[in-house]
Amino acid sequence: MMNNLMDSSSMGLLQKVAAFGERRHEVLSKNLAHIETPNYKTRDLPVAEFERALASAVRAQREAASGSRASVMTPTAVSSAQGAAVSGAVSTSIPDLDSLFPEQLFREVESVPGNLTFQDGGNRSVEREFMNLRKNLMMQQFAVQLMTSQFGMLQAVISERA
Amino acid sequence: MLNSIDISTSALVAQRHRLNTIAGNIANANTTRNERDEVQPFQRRIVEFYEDARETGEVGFRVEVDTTTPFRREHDPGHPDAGPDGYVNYPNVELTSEFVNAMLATRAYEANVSAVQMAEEMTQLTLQILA
Repeated sequence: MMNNLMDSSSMGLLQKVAAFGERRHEVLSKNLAHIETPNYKTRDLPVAEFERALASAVRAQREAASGSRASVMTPTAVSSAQGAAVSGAVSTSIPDLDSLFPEQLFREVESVPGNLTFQDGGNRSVEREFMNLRKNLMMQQFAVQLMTSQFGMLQAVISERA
Repeated sequence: MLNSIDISTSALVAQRHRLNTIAGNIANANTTRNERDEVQPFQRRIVEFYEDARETGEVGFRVEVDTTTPFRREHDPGHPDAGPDGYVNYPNVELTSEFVNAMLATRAYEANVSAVQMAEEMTQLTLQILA
C-alpha cells in the first residue's frame, strides 16, 4: 500500500530530477575548476535526453494511473480478489523508473560546442558555467521543495491535522 | 555531492598555489643570486594545471621553471654581479604579466568558492526534506 502511495505520486520522478541535478552540479563544477587547464573541453550531462526521458516517464505514469483506477472500479473485483487484482495491476503497469532513466543519462559527455574555442581547443567560459550552475541549482531545489511539500501533505494525512 | 566539493577544493588549492608562485616571482624580480650565493638570476616559475584522473577529474598542478624567456639585461658595470661586458642579468620576471596572472588566479578562486557555496545550498535543502 505504501508502495502504491509512492508510485502514484510524482515522488519517484522528483527524486530522479534531484539526483540528476546533483550529478550535473558535479560535472559543471568540474568545468569551473578546470577553467584554466589547457586542452580541457567542457562537459555536461545529456540534459535534452533526460528531459525526454522525464516526459515519457510522466506519460507512462499517467497511463498506468488511469489503467489501475479502471481495474479497481470494475464490478468483477470482489473484496477477496481485489487485493490480488490491484497488486497485479501495480506490478504490471507501474513504470519501472530505472529502465526509463538509464545509467548513461548520468554519465558526462562533452558539452555541445557553441562557445568561443581557444587555441588549445578548449571552450571555457566562466559566464556560461555560472549560468548553468545557477539554473541547475534552481531546478534541483524546485524538485526538493516539491518533495518536501508532498511529504508535508503525507504527514498531515497521517497525523490528521494540517 | 561531496565529490563536487572535492573537485572545487582541488581547484582552490591549485589556484592558491598559483598565487603563491606569482608572489614568489614578484618578490624575486630583482634577485641576481641563487640560494648558494652564486651569480645566477632567478628564473620565473609557472604553475601548470592538468586533469588528475578521468573519473574524479580533480585539478592537479605542477610548478615549472621558465627557461626560454631571456633575462632582462641592464648596463651597470659597477654592480658586483655584472659580467665582463658590464651587463647585469636580471630575472626574466615581467611585473605586468605577473599582476594580470594574479588577478586571474584570484577570480578563478572566487568562482570556485561560489561553486562550493552552491553545492552547500543544494545539500542543505535536501537535508531539510524530512525536517
